[in-house]
Parts: sequence; structure tokens; C-alpha cells
Amino acid sequence: MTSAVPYNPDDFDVNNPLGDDFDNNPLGADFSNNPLGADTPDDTVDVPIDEPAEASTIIPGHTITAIVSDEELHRLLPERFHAQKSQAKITVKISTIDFSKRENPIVTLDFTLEHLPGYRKAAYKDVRRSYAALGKFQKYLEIANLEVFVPSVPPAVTSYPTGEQEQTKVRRDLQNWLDYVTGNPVVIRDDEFVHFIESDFDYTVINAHHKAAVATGLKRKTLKQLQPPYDSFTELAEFRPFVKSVYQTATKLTKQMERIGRLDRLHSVALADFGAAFQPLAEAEAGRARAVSHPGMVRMWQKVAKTLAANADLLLAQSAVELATLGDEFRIVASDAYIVKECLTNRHLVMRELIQAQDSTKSSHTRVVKIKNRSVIDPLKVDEAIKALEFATQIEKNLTLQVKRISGEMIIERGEIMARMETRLNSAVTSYTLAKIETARKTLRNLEQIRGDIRAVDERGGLSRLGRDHLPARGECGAASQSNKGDSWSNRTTRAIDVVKNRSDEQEMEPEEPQGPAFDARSAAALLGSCTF
Amino acid sequence: MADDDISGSMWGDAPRKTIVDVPVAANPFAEDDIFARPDPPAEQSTYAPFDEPLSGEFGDMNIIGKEENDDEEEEAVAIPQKPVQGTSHLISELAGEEVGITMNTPSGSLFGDKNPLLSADEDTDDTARAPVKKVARGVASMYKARGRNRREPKPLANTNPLGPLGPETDTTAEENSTNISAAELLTAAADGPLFHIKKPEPEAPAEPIVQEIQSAPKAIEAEAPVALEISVGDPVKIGELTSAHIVYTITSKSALLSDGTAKVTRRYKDFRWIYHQLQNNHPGFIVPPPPSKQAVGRFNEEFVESRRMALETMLQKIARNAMFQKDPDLLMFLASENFGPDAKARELATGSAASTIDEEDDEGSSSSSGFMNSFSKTLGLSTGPKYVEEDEWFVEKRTYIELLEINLGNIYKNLELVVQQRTELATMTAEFLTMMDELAALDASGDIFQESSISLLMGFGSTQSKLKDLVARSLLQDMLTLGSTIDEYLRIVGSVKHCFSQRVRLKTALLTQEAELTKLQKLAAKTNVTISTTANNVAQKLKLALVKEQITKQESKTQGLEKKFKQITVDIKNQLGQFETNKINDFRNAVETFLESNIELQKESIELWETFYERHHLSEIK
Repeated sequence: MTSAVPYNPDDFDVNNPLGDDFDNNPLGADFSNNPLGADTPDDTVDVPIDEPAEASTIIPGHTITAIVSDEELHRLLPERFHAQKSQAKITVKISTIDFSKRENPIVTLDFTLEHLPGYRKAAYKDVRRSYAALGKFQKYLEIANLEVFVPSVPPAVTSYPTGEQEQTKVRRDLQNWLDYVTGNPVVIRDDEFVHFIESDFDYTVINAHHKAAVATGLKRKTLKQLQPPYDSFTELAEFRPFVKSVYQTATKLTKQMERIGRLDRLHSVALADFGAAFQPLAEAEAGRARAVSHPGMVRMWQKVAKTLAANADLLLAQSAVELATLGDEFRIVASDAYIVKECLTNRHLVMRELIQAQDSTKSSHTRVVKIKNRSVIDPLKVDEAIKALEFATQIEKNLTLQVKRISGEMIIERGEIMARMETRLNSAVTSYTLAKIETARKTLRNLEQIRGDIRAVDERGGLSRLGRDHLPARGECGAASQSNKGDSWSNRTTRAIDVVKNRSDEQEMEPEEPQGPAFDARSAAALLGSCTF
Repeated sequence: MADDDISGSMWGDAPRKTIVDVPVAANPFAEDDIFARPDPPAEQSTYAPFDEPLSGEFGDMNIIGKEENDDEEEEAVAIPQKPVQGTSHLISELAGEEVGITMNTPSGSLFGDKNPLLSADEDTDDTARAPVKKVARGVASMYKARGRNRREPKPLANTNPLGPLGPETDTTAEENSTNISAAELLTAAADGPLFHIKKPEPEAPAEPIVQEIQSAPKAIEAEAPVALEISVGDPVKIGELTSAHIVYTITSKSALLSDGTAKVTRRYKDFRWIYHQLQNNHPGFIVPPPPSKQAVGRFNEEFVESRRMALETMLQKIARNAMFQKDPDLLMFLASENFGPDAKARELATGSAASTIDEEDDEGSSSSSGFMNSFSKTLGLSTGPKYVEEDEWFVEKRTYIELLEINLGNIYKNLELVVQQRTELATMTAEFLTMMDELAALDASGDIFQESSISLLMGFGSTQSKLKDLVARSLLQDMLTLGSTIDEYLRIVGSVKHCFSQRVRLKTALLTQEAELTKLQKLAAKTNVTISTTANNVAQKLKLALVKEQITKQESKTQGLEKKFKQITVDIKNQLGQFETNKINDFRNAVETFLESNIELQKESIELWETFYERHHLSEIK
């Protein structure tokens, strides 16, 4: 507890018979908005707090006690640390996705529940949810669980052309998102999850009143302009500006990728035109009288035209893949970062509320002191003042707990969400690289295919035979530089395509399921191990 | 990428086929062959043997070429393949025996020998071999040409060092003596080559060729050009704001120069001057043109370099021509310390007005001159008899050249667009890279992202930037090879057209002259009639004498023009033959360089990405 002037009931003469009630009155009205009050069983909130242990770091002014002890964190976050409660688990698997509506596909989900109260069954099959419902659910979770970073639902429309590639990607992304959400112990205990899973028809938000939890609209905008309150959790204090710049950079990158993609398309069209421009040359050559027409030239121009056109097509396909891998991924990262930033803003707002509560505690305390120092004491006024003080103290206490809980959870989740972003970026870069390699290889193959035709335009064999008249007319030029055995120009032993091929082979060997969760939130967090408490 | 794709099954049967028929296709255009080609005088008898084997060869080649083009369609392949395979042993047979025989005949002129041999073959052979024979003949004849070039160049050189190229003066003298009209000659020449294949006339072609060999070898083409090394370098900007220009240093080295070497400075304008001067001095010759004018950005470094290169190519190509390299103007251009006045003097001497032509010509050669051209054409129509092309050869060439110009222009435009877009793309990528770096640098403290991820992002950025450099380099390469070749040919096409118009101008002049001549002759005839009818005809006789004198004058003038016209026709044909060879060679080289540089680019980029993939253990990331 972090009041500037610690409240000690012994300081005052408690002669009010009604005063005893305060301890047991949790001021429900205020707590109705508080997910802490709503979600966590009473015992966690009402745990008596060992004040002296914490009061050690009292800083003058409005401050929050910085360090949360492990013990306290365990008490504050039972979802994560309680022996029984942390066993709760929701496993979700997308069985099918109906893509008939491109913008709003319908996802069929299978849920398995473990150690979770409030559900009628242990497993739910074929739960049909529209993409829009997922979005609504995400919005709700984000508002209702101030301590959790709920990533954005990945877009249902990708930069891939409509088809299998897009569907695979959407499926993978959605599964990934569901895994992340259900991997969060706080979120799965949300009441709304019951509705989400059990609702017969498409889901709509039931507990809509949670929206009031933090300031929204103009108020939020104004509050965001103020300097953020002092934050003793350095990790989180640094995290917000970081996430903000991640958001900004990722947005810029998305835009840039779009621009590059547009230019790429233009470029491929120009390249195709360039290739097509060779065609009339071939025709003109072929259309000449037989005596003067040169078949070698005709063939050369035709092949050049064909190859350039083929390469233009490759470029076009590649630009789509580039956009889908890097561009879409940056977009997802940007929207995730935005949500994280807003969550951190919410935390700031709660902290601000706490500061206000501290102020009111302080003022009621001074009033009580003033009354106490008066010669004539009006018992009614004393009662009132003490009541107000108790009230304020209670709010402050709860808010302090809430801030601590939020901070503790966020520090943990910071690692998780960043690991998610990181994984996304890494896999995006990987698939981008693979696409690049593939395109380059195909282009190379196309180019090498016409090599022989160009050297064979006349009998001298072209530049490749400069100064080597004794060599056989041609032959070696036909050898392709890429084969199963490797690339002729390097002694690289493992190539990306081989790795990918092996992987897909393995997948074919065990056609069990398309790669499930690409990444488990908890293990990633453990891997990171960056928690400093 | 599927693996069997890479294994390159596309080479499965293609190369074998290429080996079989490509030498065939390639052969007749071998350079030696072309150089040794006789100047085809505009006479049917000598002309026929020259064209005959050619058309035969190409006819067969067309079939083969087509076949290879659709080598996916097996049915199409099936039929023509048979003769090819069948001939493969025939080729060696023919090459070994028949070629050997022809080589040993002392009168072994280039083309004359083929005809008798083959036609004899045709005559004596029974019809049973007929289906195979046709192909065999085509292939064999080609092989002959090749065998000659390769195996026994010496006997040819010994017996007739200049080849059958000598006869020019001889034939023209002949023509002068005979009074066949130019038109008749032309039509005969045009009709001749294509349709004589089937006619077995073993005797006809042999005769004139023997004559040619005996005649004095005054051929220009056959004279091997003297080594003339020219390099253009060291562009320096000179002069004040208004008169600023770039001066290039020309270093030349040759026995043709009085000092052996010369080093002079010339500006762009001077190159144009020598171009026009050469055009004027050698009508009908394709003069390698200088790069086109550019008003804006003349001092841009890249532009100066590309212009320097183009100028160098121009001079080197000029220097390679035995005709041009003896030109006094060129030698003056290469060596004169006092170029301005010298140029003026030479211009006066040759009456070329090269410096004034320049501006007009530019108007004419630029694309915006459609109006000017048509204007001058209509003007030409109004002043004199319009010349309608009679020589099919020229009609074909002209349409081909025009088509070539359009197509090349189109390609060049597209190439420029591609290059421009790629440059734009490069700047975009550069921006993208700075953003990537920003992203990687965000986590300055390094406690949010993992080390490996940051290095991954960094590595990604550096790979991209390396790739960007690579692409930029290959772009420059593309522009320097393919781009400059196309640009050069666009300009050469301009030269070719200039040659055509020179010829047409001569022909128009000739026609005017002839018209005048016939007018005079009519007048003479009329006067003759009056002389015979009237008694007092002293005045008339005087008039007749005057007219006759004029007629002889005009006749000699007409003959001179006719001679000139024939000469230019021959020259142009000759030059265009060389143009075609060079064109094939240059474009093939340019395309090959373009292709190879692109292949290297792809390899390097694959290598870059593979390295990136390996170094950052991307195989572990799904």
C-alpha cells in the first residue's frame, strides 16, 4: 500500500459503532467495473497485506511501490501460480474454415476443456464462429482483461491471390492466434469464454458493461496527452515507448511494402512488355524471304521473348509472395503492437486512478486530523470523516492491488507477446527468403535454358567460345547449373530448397495434421526467461 | 521448387538436336563466308549462282528451324527428324568426298562450283533417293561452305586470294559497252536468284566467274584492313558557360598514319562532321554513326561515359573498314592538330557541306520529322519523276529495315522503362532497408528481442542492400550491353536509310536525265524529219548538230549517273550483306552478354540468400 501518509486506524479514536462495517464492505459499486473484483475469487483480494515489508520504498509524492515480491505475485496471479488453478486449460483446434465469404469466413472449432468450472461439457465439437465474431471476442477480451495483451485477430484476407495459399495462411494464422489466446491463463478464466464456447449460434458479447472500465473517447485522448505517471516498473516504463516505435516502424514498413509491391507489379508488366517487344523482331525476321531470313536469329528472339515473359510472371508471383510474407506480417505486427500500446495506456489510466485515490485518501486523512485537533468535536462529523477515510483507503488499496496485478501480469506477458512478434517476424523473413531463392532459381533455370539457343545462333558459338576454336562446337553449355546434387557454382552442402523439401517429405510421411501450434506461449516465455522478479 | 524441375530435364533432347542442325543453320552466315562473297554485279548470269545455294540452304534451314522451335510437339518432330537423322551420315560423306573434290578443282570459286555439282547429281540420280536427297543437298552444301572455311582456307587463298570479288570494274565496263537499260538489268537481277534452283544450267555460271578471276583484282572489300587501333578517352569539360563542351582525346596507332601514332582532341560535333563527311565520300556505304544528340544533361557523368563508349565504338567500326580507313578525311580527323580550318578545307574540296548537313540531317533523322520527310517527299514528287522501286531486293530490305527500326525502338523504350522502374524500386528498397534497420535498432538495450532475432533483422537488411548493389550493377551492365547495342543499331539503321535515300536520289537524277535525253532525242528525230522534208535546211542542220552534241553530252552524263547508280546499288547490297552479318553477330553477343550477366546475377542472389539462410539458421524456423 502506497499512501503518502500511511493509514493506521489506531491513530484515531474509533468511537463509532458503525465503523466496524467498513472492513467487510468491499465497495461493490466500484469493483463492478474491475475485472479483478469480478474474476478473482475474494480470497485473493482480501489477503491481508503485510504493510511494513512494503513501506520500505516510500518515495515522497505519488508513487507506486515498485517491487512486487514473488510471494505477493503468486497471491495476485493465482491463474498463473496457484497449484490447482494453473492447471486450467483450453485446447482449441480449427477443424474447417468455410471460405465462401472471403471477408468473413466461418471457422469451425473443436474445444477441449480441462479444470475449468462453469462449463457444461468437457469438450465441444464443431463450434461455428464467424470471423467477425472472433474480432468481437478479441475486442471484449482486450477491454475486460486490462492485465492481458490480447493480440489482434489476423486478417482473413492476405496478399496472396485467392486460393490455397491464402487459405493455408489464414488457417495457420488463426490457429496461431487461438493458441495464443487460449494459452493465456488469465483470459481462459474469463466468464465470457463460457459464452463464446457454449453459444449455439454465432457469438455476440454478453457482458457488454465491461466497456466502462477505462476512459475511452475524448477523455482517453486527453489523458494520453498528459505525461505518463511515474512508473516504478522499469520494464514496463520502457516497454511502452518501445512498442510505440515498433508500431510506427511496422506501419511504415507495411506502407513501404505496399508501395514496393505496386512498383513490383508495374515492373513485371514492363518486363513482360520488354519481352513482348522482342516478338515482332522474331516475326519480322521470320517473315522475310527465305533466302535472307536467319533461323538462328528468329529462334534467339523468340526464346528471349519467351524467357523474359516467363521471368516477368515469376516476378509477379514473387511480388505477391513478398507482400504476403513480409507485408502482411508487418501489418499483423503493427496491429499487435498497437494493442499492446493501448493496453499499456490502460495501465497508465489505472495508475492515474490510483493516484487520484491516494489524493483523496490523503485529503480525508487531513480532514480527520483537523477534526481531531479541534477543541469541540462533533461526533457526527467525526463519523463522516472517518467513513470517508476508510472508503478512500479501501479504494486505494484495491487499486494498488490492481496496479500490481496488472504490472506483474504484463511483465510476464511482455515476454510472451514479444516472443510472438519475434517468431512472426522470423518466420516471415524465412518464407520471404525461401520465396526469393525459389524465384531466383526458377529465373536462373529459365535463363540457362536458352543459353544454348543463343550460342547456337551461328556456328562460331558465341562469346563463350572466344579464342577457343578447338573446342567442340557446343555441348557443355547445355548443362544446367542446378541439380539434385547441388549448385555447380558453389560447394554449399545444404540448400534451402533441400531443407524445405525434406521437411515437406517428413510431413507427407506422417500426414497427421498440418503443423499445429507453431509456438507455445508458455514455453516461449520460459525460453526468454526475462522476468526480473 | 520441385527437384526434378531443377535437374534440367528440359535439356533432355533439345541439345542433341541442336548439335545436329545448328551448325547447319549457323553456317552460311559465318563471317569469312560473307567476306568472301562476291560483289554481285547486276547481271543475271553471275547473280544466279550466288543466290541459288543460299536460297536452297535457307529453305531447308527454315524447315529445321521450325521443327526445333516446337520441339515440344512430338508429332511435328517426327517427320522432319527422319531426314535429319538420315542425312547425318550423308553429311560426313558429302563433306568428306564431295567437298574434297570441289576443293581440289582449281577454278574453285565460291558458289559457281556448287551448282554444277549438285545439278549433275540431280540429273544423274534416280528418283528413288528423291525424298532424302533434297535435304541432303541443302545440308551438304552448307557443310561445304564450312569445310572450306575451316579445313582448306589456303588453297582458296592461293588460287584466288581475292575471291570472286574482283570483277567490279570489269563488269561495269561490260555494262558500259552494252546498251541494256538499267531497269531491265535490275529486274533481271531481282528475278534471277530465287527461281533458278531447279534449272540445271551447269555451264552458265561458270563462265563469268572465270572471267572475274582473270580480271584485275581491284576489289575494295577483299583488301584486308590495315590494323588501326583507336581509343577515345579522357573526356574533359572545356569552355565557359555558353560554349561549354566536352573534349575527348583520340589516340590512334597505325601504319596508315604518317607518324605511326596520333593523339588529338575532338569534340562531339567533330565526330558528327567526320560521319557526314564519310557518308558523302562513300555513297552507298553504311557509315557507323555517332551517338545521337542530347541537349539536356550533357555533362552528366554517366551520359559522358556512355557517349564516350559509343564514340569509341563508332571510330573502331569505321577503322575496321578497309575503305573508310584510307579516307583522307578520316586520317585528317585522326591526326590533324589544326582541325577547324582543315575540316573547312576538306569540306570545300569534297563539296560535302558536312557541317551544314548536320542540322538538316538531325531534323530528318529524329522521330519528330515525319512531317519534314513527307514534305520533302512531296516536294521531290513535284520536281521530278517519282522513282518507284523496281528492285525487289531493295523493297524487301527497306521494309525489313523499317520494321527493324520500329521494333528496336520499341525494345529500347521498354528497356528504358524497365531500367527506370528498377532504379525506382532500388530507392524504395533503400528506404525499406533504413526502416528495417530502425526496427532492428529499436531494442537498443537488447532485453526485449532475442539476440538472434536482432541479428536476423540486421542480416536481412544487409543482404537486401547487397542485393540492391548487385541489381544496380547488372542494370548498368544491361544498359551498356543490350541497351547500347540496340541504340547503336537504331542509329545504324538511320545510316542505312541514308544510303537508300542516296540511291533513290541518284536514281531520280538519272530518271530526270533520261527524260531529258529522250526529249532531246525526240527533238533530234523531229529535226531529222524536217531536214528530210524541207529544202532549205541549213539552220535546221545546225540545230540538229547542236542537239546531237547535247545528246552526246547528256548521254555521257546519263551513263555516268547510271554507272554511279549501279555502283551504289552494288555497294549497298554489299554493305547490307555485311550489315546483316554484323547485326547477327552484334545482337547475338549483346544478348549473350545480357543473358550471362543475368545468369550471374541470379546465381549471386541465390548465393546471397542461401548464405543468409544458412548463417541465421533459418532452417530451424518454420
